[in-house]
Amino acid sequence: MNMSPQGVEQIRAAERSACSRFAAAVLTAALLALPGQAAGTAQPAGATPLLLQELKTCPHKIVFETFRDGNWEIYIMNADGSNPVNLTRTPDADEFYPKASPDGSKICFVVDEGKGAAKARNLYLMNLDGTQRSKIADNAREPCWSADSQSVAYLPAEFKKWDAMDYVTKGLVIYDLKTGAHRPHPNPNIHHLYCLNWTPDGKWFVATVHGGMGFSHAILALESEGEKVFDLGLGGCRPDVSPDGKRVIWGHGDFSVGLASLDFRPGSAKATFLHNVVESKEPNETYHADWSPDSKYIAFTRGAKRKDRKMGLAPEIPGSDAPGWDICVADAAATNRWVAITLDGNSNKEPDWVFVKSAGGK
Amino acid sequence: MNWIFRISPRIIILFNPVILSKEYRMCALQTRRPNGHSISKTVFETTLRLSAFAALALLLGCDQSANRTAAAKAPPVIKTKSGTEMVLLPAGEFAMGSRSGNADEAPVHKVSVSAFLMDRCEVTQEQYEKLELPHPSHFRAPSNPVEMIGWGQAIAFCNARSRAEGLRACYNEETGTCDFDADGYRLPTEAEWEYACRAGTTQDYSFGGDPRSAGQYAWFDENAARQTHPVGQKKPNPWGLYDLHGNVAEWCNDPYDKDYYSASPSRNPRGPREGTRYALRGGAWNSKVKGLRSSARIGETPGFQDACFARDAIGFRCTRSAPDETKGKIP
Repeated sequence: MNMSPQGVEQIRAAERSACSRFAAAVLTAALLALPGQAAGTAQPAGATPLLLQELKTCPHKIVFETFRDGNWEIYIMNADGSNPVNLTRTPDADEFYPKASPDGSKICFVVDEGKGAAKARNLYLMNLDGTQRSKIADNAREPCWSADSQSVAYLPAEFKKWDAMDYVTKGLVIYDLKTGAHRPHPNPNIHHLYCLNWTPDGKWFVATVHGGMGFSHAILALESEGEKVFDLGLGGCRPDVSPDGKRVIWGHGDFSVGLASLDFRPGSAKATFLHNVVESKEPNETYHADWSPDSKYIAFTRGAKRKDRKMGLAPEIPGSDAPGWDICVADAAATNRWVAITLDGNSNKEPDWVFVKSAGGK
Repeated sequence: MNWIFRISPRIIILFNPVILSKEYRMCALQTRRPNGHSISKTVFETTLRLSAFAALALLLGCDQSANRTAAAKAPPVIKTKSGTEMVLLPAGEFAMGSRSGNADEAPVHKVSVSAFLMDRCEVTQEQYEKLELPHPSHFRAPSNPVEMIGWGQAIAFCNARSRAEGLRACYNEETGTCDFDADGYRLPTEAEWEYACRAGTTQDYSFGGDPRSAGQYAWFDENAARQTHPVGQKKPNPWGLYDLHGNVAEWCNDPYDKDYYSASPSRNPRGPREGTRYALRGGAWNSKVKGLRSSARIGETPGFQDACFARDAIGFRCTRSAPDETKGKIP
């Protein structure tokens, strides 16, 4: 049977299309079997596995808390989830809530130490490779870094008695790495903040407040050297200010990651809601959103409430075990373009991007 | 100023508007004995005195007498080890629910409860801080009720308070199961709460059927200025319990089921075994007056595993089962 040139071209086009689909399928299968991910596990429904290919070229890394081998450790991994490394390796202590310095040289984190009445949550520093671990504050939590990586701001605990809840804080203190001095924030009314951020220009703190300072639950902007406080009007919790200080992402309710523009001026601070970057559905919640150093990606945590336990701590609380929770990365310029970069469900939470110098700088 | 009414040559009623406003002393009855000595007692002790009170109420145009005739005298108040006042409520029977309320308040059914102790006031922020327990209350003041408290946090407080006083904790904090035989603190059952609130009364409110009186007994949307207030500032109910109407809505131990009254046992009902919502009672600072009614029920998500539970109109008060010697018999 003779065919017209047009018909032959149609068949060739169809063959090329089939070939492309096959190649995409092979690529997807290969990506799902990346090292560092549990064998035989699949990407969750709604994920975009091809984003993993893009993340392979991202030079930055991610630190996170994870419950493995019976205790909490801090791990570091590549942006695509490959090559996870345990930075803490301490079977007798629980480490979590890692925050990498903007220059990518150090990690500040909290450690639950001791037992019974002697149990305490303390604040530590270590190098990016886990060496030179040192305590910087007793009974303190929720740290964040100044843009020059020379200071850590943190929240002292409200009571001497250990409490797992993140909002149980009173005051705000700034620790200078060079001098070792601890300086209290000038606002004496700071109470029940958590998820602290410091804007790159050093002029503002952004944090969630839960039942304190005259607010029931809100995301606040606080003058770093003054006493003025502004409600940013963002429903939800756990904000993360972008590296350029112009945008904020946060847990917009339990099931989405919101993104808004920030407008800081002398004597005023406000946020303009733009859109949700990630929208999840029951039962999978989304928390702990964190900007990548180049602002291209957003790391976040995804998982469901515990079915085996009626009450107790919510899984999103630092140090609260969260079976089935994993770290995901979303494209900050799209909606719902995300992929899981851990798949083992080992309570993988609180991701924080680590700037890698060899990437060519910010 | 005292107003004196002579009922008979031997009996006069001494009515003092100032005393009237104070707890337990809404009216005082003075009996004059032949020897000239006089004894002051609360008005509801005897039939004769009830009659006298009714006559006084008629004289004054008071509409609350019918509601109060069934109210027993104020039960005793005890102080716990930590210094918190609780009222020892006697075992008793009452008609639970309402014919004229919402659908979930029907059918009205007879319920009997064993004797129990109930906090005279809602749990305050000061009580939390004494136990070094964090609370996320929005309206900060030591004597304001604690709020923004999920059901799980409320039972955790009950257990902490029990342990601090050497009592056996009632709750398994993983499952929420309550051991009613334990001598520690717990949340009231819905039946206990309504029994305590009614205090023997049968009308919509423990102060009668007229919602216009609510401002004397409750903080609610017409007088609260959009916030909570220190506990115990309004008039108590006939059994000396404060703020059962208004200020903060109070968690009960029971899961909420709108149809529960159709299947409720008559003795010490404890609600359905499970539920996605839990019962709130009494209304709050932001409630309309109808929401304060003794029989009004709300089913609210308990905030399990919700780190951002932020409802600043929800608090609670604790109960304890009465010590054995005071339990008495269920009618």
